[in-house]
Amino acid sequence: MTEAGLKAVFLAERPMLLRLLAARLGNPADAEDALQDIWLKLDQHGVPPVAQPAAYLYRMATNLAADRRIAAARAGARDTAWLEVQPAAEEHPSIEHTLLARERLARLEAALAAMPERMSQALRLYRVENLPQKQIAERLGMTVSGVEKLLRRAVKEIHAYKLAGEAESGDVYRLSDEGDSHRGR
Amino acid sequence: MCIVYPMKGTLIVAVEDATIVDRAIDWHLRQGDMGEADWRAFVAWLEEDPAHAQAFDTVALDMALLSERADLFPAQPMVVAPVVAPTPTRRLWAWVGGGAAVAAAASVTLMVAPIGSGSASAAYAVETKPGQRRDVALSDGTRIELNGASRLVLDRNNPRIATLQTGEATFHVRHDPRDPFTVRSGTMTVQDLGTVFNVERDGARFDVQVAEGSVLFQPRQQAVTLRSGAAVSAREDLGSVTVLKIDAAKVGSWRNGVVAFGGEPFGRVITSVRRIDGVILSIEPSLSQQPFTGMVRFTGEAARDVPHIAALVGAEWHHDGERWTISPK
Repeated sequence: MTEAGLKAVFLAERPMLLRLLAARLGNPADAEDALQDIWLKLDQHGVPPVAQPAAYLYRMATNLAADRRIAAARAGARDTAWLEVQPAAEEHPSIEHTLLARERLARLEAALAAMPERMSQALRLYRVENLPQKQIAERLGMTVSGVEKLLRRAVKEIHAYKLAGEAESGDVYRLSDEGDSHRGR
Repeated sequence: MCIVYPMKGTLIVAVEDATIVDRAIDWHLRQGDMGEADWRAFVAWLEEDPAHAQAFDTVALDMALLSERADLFPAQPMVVAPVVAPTPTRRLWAWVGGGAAVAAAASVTLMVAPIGSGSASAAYAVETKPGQRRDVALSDGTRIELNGASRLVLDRNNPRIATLQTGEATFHVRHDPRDPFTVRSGTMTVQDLGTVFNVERDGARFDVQVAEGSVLFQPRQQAVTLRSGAAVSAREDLGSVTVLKIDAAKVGSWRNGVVAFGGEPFGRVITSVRRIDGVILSIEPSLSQQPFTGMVRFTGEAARDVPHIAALVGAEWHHDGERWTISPK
């Protein structure tokens, strides 16, 4: 797939990519902006040979959406900077944010500590070392479907841990836009 | 094109439906090998119900957080050297991205020279050649130990500030709450809160490790407080910052010729041996990206250290009188 070819696929898939980004970012204006980013990346950085151009673009979009959600969280919106470690009260003005972040981190840490070692190990290989499930299976001496089940349970346990204190979250998806008129509100 | 967005005030039902969560997890785990049709189905699912989008967002953010915060995982014992670890299976340290980590060992000469033209500042540089070590005592009582191949800029008019341009240094800071000591490096800033700490600059990578007391990392931005046993590893090129737990007793252990690596690219070991031994050493790129875990003891003699580290990754070494190379067998 040449660069021109990929750009053609981008244009063809544009509506669907925009829908994906809008659903992930909860905001059509941000989605347009993110889409523009993708176009610029294709334009400036060139493109590696891709076998499945559409899937490649969707993956790009979903990764970009995750990056943006993280950036938004860092900016202090809801989850605030989870970079904070062991901040002492007297050193930090934004105690409220800090407490939230600590709580969330503590919960994640507790969930990881509570799960069987093999499960957290699989999750570590998947998230930290970024290994494909096939390689995780090789490392742990398991089948690929076994790894998939293990990862599924690991993610679910973490999710369950989060539920305890976070029933009120979800502001992000209470969209404030009315229909398509998202500009100049 | 018509896109339908939820109307203003759409209420999100806070009830977590287990099947929705299962689906969200499913979509997340499958993303690596989804085809075009799968992606369309995924978009349709996200749009079907705001609860779907929210469940997926939670899962995606959790997963993103886990890849950044390797320190959240339960501590695992570090492999103690001498180790032969061609395929380490565990990593303590997060390594974000995999850019070329090996900084070229520039030929640096020792010099103390005025820098810049600022009126009130009387900046001067302290540099070490590869293999050289220096201790610097500042007028405020602060002591700095500089590793080889390093360059630090100080200010005669202000002993409370230092800029690490490249290399590695351990700071023993005389604490003064009214006048905190500041270390800068590139876009990064570290401020002491009563402290012994190690800072390292390797290309776009910047590391801070705290042995005693605490420091404030990026005081004007995130203002992360790092206490004894905490570390940050920042990448300016990737815009990433990773917080890690480390063994406080091992901070600045390069001073005793010992350096610990946890799942880091092997090229980092090469950077260390260049600094400490002052050796001219090149390595094949495929090897420099290989992850390495273990503690390496450097004797300061290339003839002993190069064969040793080559053996650690099962590689071959070659010496032609001046230059050393390490390559795969």
